[in-house]
Amino acid sequence: MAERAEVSAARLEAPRLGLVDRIRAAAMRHEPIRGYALLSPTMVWMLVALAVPLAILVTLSFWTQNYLDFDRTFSFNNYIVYFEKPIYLKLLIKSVKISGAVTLATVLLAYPAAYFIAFKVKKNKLMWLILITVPFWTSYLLRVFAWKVVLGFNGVINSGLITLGVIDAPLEFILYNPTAVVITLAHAWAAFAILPIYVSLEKIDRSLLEAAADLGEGPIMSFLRVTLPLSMPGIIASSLLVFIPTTGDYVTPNLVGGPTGIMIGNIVASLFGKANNWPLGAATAVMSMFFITLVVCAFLWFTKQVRERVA
Amino acid sequence: MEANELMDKMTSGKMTRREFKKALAAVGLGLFAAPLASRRGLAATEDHPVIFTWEGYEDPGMHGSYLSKHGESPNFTFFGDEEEAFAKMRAGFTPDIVMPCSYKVAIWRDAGIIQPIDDSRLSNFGDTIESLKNVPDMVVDGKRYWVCMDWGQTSIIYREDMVDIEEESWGLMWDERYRGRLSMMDSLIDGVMVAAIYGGAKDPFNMTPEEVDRTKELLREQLPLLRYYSSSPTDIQNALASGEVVAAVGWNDAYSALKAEGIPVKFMEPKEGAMTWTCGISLMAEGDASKLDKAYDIIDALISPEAGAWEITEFGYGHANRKAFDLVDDATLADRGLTRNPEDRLNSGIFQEPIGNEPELQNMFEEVKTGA
Amino acid sequence: MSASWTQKRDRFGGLGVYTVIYLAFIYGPVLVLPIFSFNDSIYVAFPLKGFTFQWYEDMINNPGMLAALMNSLKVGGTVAVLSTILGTLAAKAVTRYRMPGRGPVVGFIMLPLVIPEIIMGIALLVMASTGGIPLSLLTIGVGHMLLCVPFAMVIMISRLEGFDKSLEEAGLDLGETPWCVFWRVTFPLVLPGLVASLMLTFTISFDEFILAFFLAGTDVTLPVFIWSQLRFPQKLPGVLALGATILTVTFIMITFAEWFRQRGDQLRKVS
Repeated sequence: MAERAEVSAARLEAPRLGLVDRIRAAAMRHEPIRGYALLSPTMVWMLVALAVPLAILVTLSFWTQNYLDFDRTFSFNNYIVYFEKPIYLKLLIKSVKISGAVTLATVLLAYPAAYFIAFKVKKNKLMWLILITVPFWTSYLLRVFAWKVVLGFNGVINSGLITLGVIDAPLEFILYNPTAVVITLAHAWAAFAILPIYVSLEKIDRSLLEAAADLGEGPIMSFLRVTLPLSMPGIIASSLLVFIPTTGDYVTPNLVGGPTGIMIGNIVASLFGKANNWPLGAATAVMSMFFITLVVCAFLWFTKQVRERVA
Repeated sequence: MEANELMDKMTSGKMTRREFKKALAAVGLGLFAAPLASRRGLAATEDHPVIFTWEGYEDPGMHGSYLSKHGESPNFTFFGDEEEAFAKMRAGFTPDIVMPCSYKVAIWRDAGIIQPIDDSRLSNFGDTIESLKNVPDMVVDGKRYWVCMDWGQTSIIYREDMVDIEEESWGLMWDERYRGRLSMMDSLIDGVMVAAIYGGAKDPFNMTPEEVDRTKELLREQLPLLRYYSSSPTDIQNALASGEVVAAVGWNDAYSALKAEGIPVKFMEPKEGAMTWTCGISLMAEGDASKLDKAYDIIDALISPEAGAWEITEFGYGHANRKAFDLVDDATLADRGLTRNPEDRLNSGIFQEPIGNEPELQNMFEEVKTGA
Repeated sequence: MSASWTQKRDRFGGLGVYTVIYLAFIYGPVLVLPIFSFNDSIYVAFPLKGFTFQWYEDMINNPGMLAALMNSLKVGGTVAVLSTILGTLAAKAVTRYRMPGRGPVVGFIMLPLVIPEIIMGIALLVMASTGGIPLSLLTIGVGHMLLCVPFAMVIMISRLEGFDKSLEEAGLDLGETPWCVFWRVTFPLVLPGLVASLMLTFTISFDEFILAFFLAGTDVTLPVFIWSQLRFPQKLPGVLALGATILTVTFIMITFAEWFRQRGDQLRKVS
């Protein structure tokens, strides 16, 4: 009750502009200020929580491990090691390839499903979305474990194929290799692809589609010229959300990658754990971050070119 | 006087760790001015000690005497492997008790993570099997840093119905006939050392450069034969149970568990020698001093005969307490590959020691795994 | 011919069939969990042995697991709401206003996605222990927020990009208060994005265990708990039972919600 009275009082006061209000009004007209004002809670939070870890990471990468201590003289040693030994770059490229394949697979597989929910489902869209997310509430580790059972030697696929008489001995090449990593990750990150695409499809103005149809565009043309370009923000978002985190993953490769499926994340984890060389681990991470950022920028630049050309 | 000495040791032991954290903190300090009032990394709300250990040891069967004395169990929190635990503790996590295996104790002591234990305060310590009382490097300058709790062996577990060998040898892990059906442990001590022993290294835990090269060569040779490097007992046991893998390097708990499920497996006694490992308990250097008495109570409970009998029966590991073996019947012991005379088995294998030049070997291992 | 293309295809046209197959792909492996949760063997391998309820008994008699589940729900729920709010504010700012430094700002907020989680975990732990902050669910939540805000922001940007700001301006011109404009114009437009962001951020937090491992004191979240249990085959079936239970309970909840919604619709029609 009291709150409501206050609100209406504030409303009555509104027309009488005080000095504060006038300053506020001036600031409101200035776009960057308004933008940064709106951004400030998020920025302050991220700065507080992220600045220190980031500073630690970068500084560490210029130190050197000395048994259990750090040699705190500034040096490029770790970066020299990084480029001298072929294993780091080799693994990084391999990781980018694996994540690229995962991203492509997840986005391609998710798009039609997202399209269906956005355009064909009339009611209960929320229920469909939940239906797609529920499997991901069973714990990632259990899902990876489940994949081992499905792909394994006596797994669902092998047993099924043997029963059907397609093969007589279990296929061994479907688990414990990079392909298994791609399959498992593509499954694990499905929700991360479908949700952003759905969100961007959902906002497309239906009258645009009707207009295209009125102009005699075929369904494929109208998809290519209207729907696809308009859903690009969603495709880009989901590509980034899948690509960036999977490049650094080390749990999935560890569990299903077998002897040949390890990725750059495994090296970083090992340097921070088993090998106990945090500075080199930090340098490796910094280089991965740098490289991933490059790939992402190239991807964004490329999609921008495509979008501009289409538009 | 004794307390004073303890304090001295604690502070000197803390140095590297403190410096280490200080170094890291200094980076952030300019940006993050936080009160340095408390250095504790844990909520101190409960008055029981916090034990940082492997999953499984939290069972009341392992601390019955503590439970009856204090009415409640202590707090447990778990790690997946010791390296993970080490990273977390170096970054500032301070439990009261931690449970490393013997080969990790030296490095943890150097890092200032653990403090000496006064073994005269442990009523069950006297019953420890003699050779386990005297594991090398556990007592430095008259201070004991670790008490032994349990031990077991690392060897090959293989399916009797699927593997055909004339002589038991680590060489099975390099047998072309079983390409794609073998599994090694993803570990220096239980994986790389196997290659070192098979390669004939004189002292596998302190190899010469030539021996390291030989080991690397063997690991490379082995890589295409492996199904995977296992990282947990679950990996090993599931794969052996389904026949996905016919032979795997593992611990004796896997053997007794598989046997109990009726899987025809054998725990190898390789001619080159199986490895014997031993794990135990250490006191954290920066643990809560007010919980020290209770910390001693829990250590005493873990090395009691009753806990030992429970562990032998449930896990299939050997316990450090001699009297534990008296509480277990012959059939149970035999099922777990143990005898009334634990010293026999303990002395038969190659005893695991701290690995010299660990980081270099780890890098070598990672290189092998990438196929480089 | 083409004009009626969209109308001609009913719900279960080609796309519908595809979506069902897609759902099968998503659910397929997950359904392994309930199957083996009734299997009378500690080993998760075919062929199946007998039928048992033992693992469900184990689950109920495992207070640590249930506590971890509750912790995860608490952390996940809070993190989802807070990070969606922060992500939405940021997305709104960068899409609505022309501001210098937009690219670097977005890049900075996205950084946690690129930093390996193990490093984030260690760095945040160093920060907490130096600052004397005790490890608890709160520290886990802070770590998860860092991870979730970028996800929320990216989703909201994809929703808000190309958003017609003249709608809001029209509202303001008509003398509505900004709050009113928000509820009547902006909110309905961003709602699908909010839902997606809440669901995704909850899922991330509910599933994350590397940060959670480093930032956990004695209270752990479910994934950290499962990570420790997965090591031992004896413990595994109990965890499978929990996974199967989570699936079932969620399904029952969805079905109930759907049933209530339909009844609500009917009642509304009647009145």
